[in-house]
Amino acid sequence: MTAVKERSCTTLFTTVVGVLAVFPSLGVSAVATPTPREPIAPISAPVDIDARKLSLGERLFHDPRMSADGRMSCATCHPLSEGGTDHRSHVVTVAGKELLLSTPTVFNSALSARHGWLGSVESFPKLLDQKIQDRFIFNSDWKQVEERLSQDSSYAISFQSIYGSRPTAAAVGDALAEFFQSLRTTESRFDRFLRGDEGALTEDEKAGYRQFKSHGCIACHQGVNVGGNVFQRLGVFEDYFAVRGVDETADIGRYLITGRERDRHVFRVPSLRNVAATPPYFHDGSALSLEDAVHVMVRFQLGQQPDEKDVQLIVKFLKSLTGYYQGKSL
Amino acid sequence: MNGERAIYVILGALAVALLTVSFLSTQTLDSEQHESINDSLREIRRIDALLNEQVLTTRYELQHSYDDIDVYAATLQQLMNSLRDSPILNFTDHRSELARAMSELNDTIVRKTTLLEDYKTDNALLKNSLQHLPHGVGTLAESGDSATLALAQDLLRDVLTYNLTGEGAIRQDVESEISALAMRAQRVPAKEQTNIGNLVTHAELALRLQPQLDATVEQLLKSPLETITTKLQSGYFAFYKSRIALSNNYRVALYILSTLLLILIVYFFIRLRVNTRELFKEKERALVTLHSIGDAVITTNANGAVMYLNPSAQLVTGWNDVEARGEPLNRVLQLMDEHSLKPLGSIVDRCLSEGRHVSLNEHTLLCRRDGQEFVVETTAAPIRDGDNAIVGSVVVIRDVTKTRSMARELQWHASHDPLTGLANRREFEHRLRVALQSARERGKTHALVYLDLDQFKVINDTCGHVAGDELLRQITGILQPALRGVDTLARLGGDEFGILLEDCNVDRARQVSDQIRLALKDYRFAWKHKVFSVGASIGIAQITRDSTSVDDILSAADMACYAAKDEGRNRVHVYASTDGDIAQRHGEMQWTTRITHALEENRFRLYVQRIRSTQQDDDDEDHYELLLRMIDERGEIIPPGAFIPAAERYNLMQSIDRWVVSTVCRQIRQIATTQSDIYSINLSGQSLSDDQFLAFVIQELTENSISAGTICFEITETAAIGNLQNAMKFINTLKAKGCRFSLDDFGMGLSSYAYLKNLPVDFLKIDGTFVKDMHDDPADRELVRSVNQIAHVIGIKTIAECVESEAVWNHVREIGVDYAQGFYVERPRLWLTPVSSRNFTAR
Repeated sequence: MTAVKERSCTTLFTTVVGVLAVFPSLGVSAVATPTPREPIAPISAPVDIDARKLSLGERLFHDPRMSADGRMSCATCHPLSEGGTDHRSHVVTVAGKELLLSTPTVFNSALSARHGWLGSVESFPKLLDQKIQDRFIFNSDWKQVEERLSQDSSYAISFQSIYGSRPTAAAVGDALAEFFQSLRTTESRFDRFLRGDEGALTEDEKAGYRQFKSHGCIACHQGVNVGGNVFQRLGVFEDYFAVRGVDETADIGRYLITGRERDRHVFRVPSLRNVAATPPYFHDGSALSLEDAVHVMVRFQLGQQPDEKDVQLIVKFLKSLTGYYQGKSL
Repeated sequence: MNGERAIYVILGALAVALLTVSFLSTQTLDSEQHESINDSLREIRRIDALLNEQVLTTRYELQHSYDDIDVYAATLQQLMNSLRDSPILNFTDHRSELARAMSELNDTIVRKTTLLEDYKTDNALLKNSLQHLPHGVGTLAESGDSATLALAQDLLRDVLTYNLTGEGAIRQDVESEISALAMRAQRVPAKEQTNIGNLVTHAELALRLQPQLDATVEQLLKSPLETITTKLQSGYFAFYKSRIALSNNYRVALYILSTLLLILIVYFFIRLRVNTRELFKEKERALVTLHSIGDAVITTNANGAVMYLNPSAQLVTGWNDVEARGEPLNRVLQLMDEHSLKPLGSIVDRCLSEGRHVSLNEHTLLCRRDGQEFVVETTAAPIRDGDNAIVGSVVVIRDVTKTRSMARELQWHASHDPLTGLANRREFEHRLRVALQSARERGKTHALVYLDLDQFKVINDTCGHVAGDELLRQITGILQPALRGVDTLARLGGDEFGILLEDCNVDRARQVSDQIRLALKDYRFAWKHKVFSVGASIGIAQITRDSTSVDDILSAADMACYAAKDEGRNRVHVYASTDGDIAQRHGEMQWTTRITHALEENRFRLYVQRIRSTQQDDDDEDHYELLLRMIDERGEIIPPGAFIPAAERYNLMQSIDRWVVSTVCRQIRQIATTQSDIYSINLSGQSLSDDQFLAFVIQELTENSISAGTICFEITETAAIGNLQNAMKFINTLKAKGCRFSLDDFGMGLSSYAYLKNLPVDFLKIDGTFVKDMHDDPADRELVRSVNQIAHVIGIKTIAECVESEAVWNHVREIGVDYAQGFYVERPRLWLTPVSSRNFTAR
């Protein structure tokens, strides 16, 4: 199944050449990359997608019957036409309660093992359970959801033909997961560059990528999602929250989940895929432009004085990360 | 029964439970599950190795990607979940070693995941700083002085070296270089200062993170996943093996149990077949029996519907088996009361509802389908099953028509005269009794007419019995029309008829009687050219409230009839209280005077008959029986049978006996007999029981100096037993004097061997009625033989009477009877003419 070349770990900065396994169950695929290995991998097109499950999942994604009051669907906060996010920093829900964290996009979320700002759940079914039962989101329960969906004969027929059962939590989760697998943005110019298309990026963008790496952004923003696979404290070299002012509960970060002191103000490093299309930035949505965001990052996370020229290059590079969904750029 | 059934049910349930438990226990991990558990454990170890490798890779790579680490970590978690979901834990106890190892594995993976996150975070920061250091040095190279640059370059080298080796000495170098740089920074321009500051910050960070990260990496690499999984695997194998062994045991148990069950089934099947065959045979036997018995048998079910009829039942009901099946019994078996002819209620319903045997045996009539009727006795009995519940009934019908008619015939014969068809004496007396009762209780008056034919004896003697019988029949034909239906005409014997006229006074009875008398007077009986006129004497007795008994009424009518005859035949006489005189005048009363006169006039004679020994021709003692005769007024000899009954009735026997004893004694004295002669004297019962008579006898013997041995008294059994005490006294007294006794007429009367034993007689006289026909009748012969034998056993000599022929003599001799007496031996002859006469009538 997997072939891994043994290599010595003692040599500093040796390049790793390897073929990574494909784990279909996780839906993460990594393809062989040319040497030297880049820390960022291009997004591959989804494989083995069941078209029937996908369309069922898409329908469920847009179905307000998921929520108790029947007014809110997944797409309410994650409109696909707008980058998979409502661009809100503090969302006012139907229940009239403001959510504390800004809305992350659903695009490419299936490529990450963890989800949300706090990375509190490790699997899609768990995530779905959380959203269904969250008093401030769907405020429902599976029994109610299953009942409502069962009353729709077209659902009943679809579920029966695909899963051989009525709409159950597991079946609903599976269909939605299949749909999420399809929510990938492919063919970004940067990915084309990674695949060897030197002309896909402008020289500035290439320079921006180099700056991105040499400044150390790449230490956290790596992998296929350019982030999303590591936790980091916001404000490594300077106290971000003291500078920003206003102390909110949400700022406590991952501490809310683990209770470890070292997890205070720690958040999941967000993916930078389609970052240009999904403002505002940070968990508090405080940065409205990429430039602002890069400034904040260089200062608080990298412990450096942002150089305006470098910032601009990096921003250019970031813009090349915008991909296509269903043939349309985000 | 129910208890047995419950035991079977419980046993069955237990067997099923045992089978179920065995079956469920044999459930084990199938090979796919087994493989998947093994694979998971192997995979955990492999992924863990890859993960560790990836950690080292990302640690030392210049630019890393955590995607692989995430993938491996997720894979580990997933493998863990799949292990946890596998059926191992379903089978094992939570406290078992396997379960402990399992949770340990889970904890280790969770811990490792946390460590990995920390590692990624710290590693990213460290990389960031290490990345920045050359960048910062490059910046210094552009703007700063050479000394600072050299210091910065040293710092960079030492930080990188420290990063690689983690040696404490180099760390100290780094620390000193940092402080040197920090000192330098105070003496350089502001821009420089910032650059140096950045450099220092990052170097400090790297220095701070370095040991922390190294510790994390060490912990990650040392994570005991390998040992735990190995332990888990060996634990699992032990578990798996025990599971297999256990399931094997259960399989064996299952095999044994099912084999036992199979054997049981075969056994029951065979038993069932044997039972079925036996039941079938039994049924055949029962059917054959039912077919062959003469009684009609019908079986019904519990509702009283017919199930079966045997051939007799089919014959008697007129229904065949097939037609009758399912019909209600009342339709097939129509029973009614013999007298009222009303249908009877269903016998089966009664039998079924009362649950017991029911009989209808009197006056039941069965009406066959074609209307023919039978008199039947019917019984019905319930049929019960093993639980004692009634499942039907069996009805047995016996055709008693023939028996009934035979009984009726017998009854008729018992109460009727077969010759004339009239009621017989018995029946007549019965009706008289009823009439008498009605007279007494209800004051009714009836009449009894007694009719005696005058010429019957003449016709019977001259024309024979057949004529006599015919006469009686014809007379019956004449009598009957003269009577009413309620009257009873009966033949009371010979030529006597009785008529019971119910509710009839004397006048009317006389009228009827006259009518009959006239009819008979005119009647002529013709027989073979002879014609006879037949007359009748008719006596009438009234039956009233005052009548005492049937015998009295009959006797009164008889006397009235006698009176009528006395008046000159062909008359009717109504009983009056004086009629008794008439009878006396003409009957026994006559004999008393005649006997008295004969005694007075000494007109009795003694005859003698020899009793001869059968064994010795030359008998040394002569034994004679003395026989009494009476000479009547006209000089005719009258046999004792004629006058003795009258003498007995009117207490004249003692006088006669005294005469005989006295006469005999005197005669013997006169003739001076030899000692060896024995004379037997017959004594009556009356004399025997009289003390004075005993004294008389002793006196006579003494007076005449008679040797007592010459006298033998013959007494009848009846006489002796009539007053046994006196008789014994008599016998014993005289026996003591030397007299002998013989028991007369043995075989007649009461003849009890018990008495024979108690009466100390010397001789036993076997009654002539048995002896005289001995040569013809073997029964008589055997009787004589047995009497003889018994007498000999007791020590009594025997005498056979009425030996009238040589043949009888020979038989008697042959049997061994001691003496014989009779015409063959010697005819009675006149003994001696009495010498004197004494008045024996006076006592």
